[in-house]
Amino acid sequence: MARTPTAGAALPVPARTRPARWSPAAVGGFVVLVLVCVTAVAAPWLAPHDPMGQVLERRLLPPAWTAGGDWAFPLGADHLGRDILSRLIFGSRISLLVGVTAVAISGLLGVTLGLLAGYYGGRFDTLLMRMVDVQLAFPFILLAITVVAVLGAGLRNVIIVLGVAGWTVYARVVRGQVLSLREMEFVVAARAIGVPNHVIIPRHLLPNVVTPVVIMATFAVATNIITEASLSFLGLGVEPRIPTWGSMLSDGRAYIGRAWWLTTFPGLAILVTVLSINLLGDWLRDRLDPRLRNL
Amino acid sequence: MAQYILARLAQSVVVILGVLLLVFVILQLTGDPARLMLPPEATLEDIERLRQQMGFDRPLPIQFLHFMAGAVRGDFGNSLRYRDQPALQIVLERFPATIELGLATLAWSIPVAFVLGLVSAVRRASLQENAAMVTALLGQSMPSFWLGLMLILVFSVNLGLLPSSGRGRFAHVILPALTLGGFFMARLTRLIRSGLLDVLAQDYVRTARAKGLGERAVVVRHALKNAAIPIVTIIGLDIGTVLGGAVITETVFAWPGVGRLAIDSISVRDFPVVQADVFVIAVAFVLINFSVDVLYTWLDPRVRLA
Repeated sequence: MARTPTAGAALPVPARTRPARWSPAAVGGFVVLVLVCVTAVAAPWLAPHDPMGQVLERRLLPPAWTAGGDWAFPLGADHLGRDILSRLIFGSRISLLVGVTAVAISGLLGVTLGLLAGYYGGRFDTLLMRMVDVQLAFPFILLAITVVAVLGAGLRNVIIVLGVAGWTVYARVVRGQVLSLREMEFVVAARAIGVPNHVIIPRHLLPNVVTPVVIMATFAVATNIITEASLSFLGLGVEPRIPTWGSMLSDGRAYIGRAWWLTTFPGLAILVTVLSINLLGDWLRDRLDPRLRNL
Repeated sequence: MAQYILARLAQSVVVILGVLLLVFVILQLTGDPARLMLPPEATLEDIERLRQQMGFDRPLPIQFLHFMAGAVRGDFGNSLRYRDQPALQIVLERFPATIELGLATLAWSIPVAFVLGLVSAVRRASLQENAAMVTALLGQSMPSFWLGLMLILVFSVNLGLLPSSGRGRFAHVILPALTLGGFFMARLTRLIRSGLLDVLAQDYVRTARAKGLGERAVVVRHALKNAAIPIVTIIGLDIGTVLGGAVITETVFAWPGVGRLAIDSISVRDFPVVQADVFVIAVAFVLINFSVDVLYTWLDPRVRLA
């Protein structure tokens, strides 16, 4: 990406914060994330059983390596006799779909509003920043829970809620960057030679805010995966018939004293996925823009 | 200073009014709040009666004015579940439990984060740094409700050491506070570490070392003091996250606070209580941020002079 100078670009980055081109943690995160993505895409071919198939004879079947386990069901079966591994594999689809789509919505919304508010300023900027303040006064999960409760649960509503609730962080950062960018010589020069605003904003400003947006978006995917799982855990996520990691945890909660595997494996799946995204996000941030480390 | 505080107070009032507007708008998203508040088997007469009772049959601007007039007096109407009790009163009765959980969470997570952050910044490339960073990364990547379930599995189900639900004795608060503070501690550890690393790379720290000051004095008197200012702000902002996280944690541990009340009220469609609940949490968040801002100006005079 060709980077034109930004306000902070002149600041030297201390050598200690500039990591090696690839760190082992970043490589590990990347590999795990690719595996999760491949699992999600190839779920119908990878899953050994129908994730919704109920066989009551094998209800609460323990994992294969424990007493009473069956290698045909390596991670055991749930309270309705459904294969845990197959449900985990299919559950990755929902997590990634919600995580990525919601980020796309909030990124598009936040970046657009941030660009306009930062560039034009005035009343629109003031109004937008007050809206950001108001929305930030709501804990994110509480806002999501309330809106999903009102709109109704379901995959589409969860994506919309997470998408719309997450725009503020992009708007705030992009606006801040644009406020300094618009006074820089290359933007002033573009204006002076008569380049219209609708060209300046996408061609000169947008490329300069891409770096922080990419970093924020990476972390936001991880946050959205946890929030979706939280909503499903509370029974406010996607439809109950669709297997998700959060709903698997919720189902398993009632059997925690008898069947530890119902709650352990879905949680581990979330942990590993979110950890890999965070490792990749850390590396991206340290590599591209260490000044954003408070994000 | 007084002028800054007044301006910040005015801003907080605007935000609270905005919160009220949002709380009102959320309920209107359905198109027909009366239908939402009643069970699916309610008759048309029931819906019409509730519509008149709650004033949903009036024009929207009038409804909004009515709602605002009530809300600024703390009147969100009566609970639909507990008919005689005002919604706000129910929420305020539950609030001390959430405060107790929040304080217990902060009481362990802030000191632990300081120790881990400090160790990982001062002892670079050591076993201690790696252990602190792995703890922080895991804490940030773990869904809090799963951490809660795992703690129940180990300490309540397997070891039988701590209760898995309820409130009363000190033992009751341990697992919920550990669960709620996991993410907060992890995030704070990383922020303290990066803040300290920034300060430790400054010229005045090098000067302090060059004049022969001991490492402990350099870190405590020079680095930690200067790194504390942005950290206090982040702590203030993240206390809101703790309040939000309480929704999940209280549900997992059946902790009788405002978070669990929100989920319970949503499940029985008691929307006056939901509105009052969301309002109280948001106002608490705004007040905490306001207090932190005032503290911040006291810590760093450059802020109020800017």
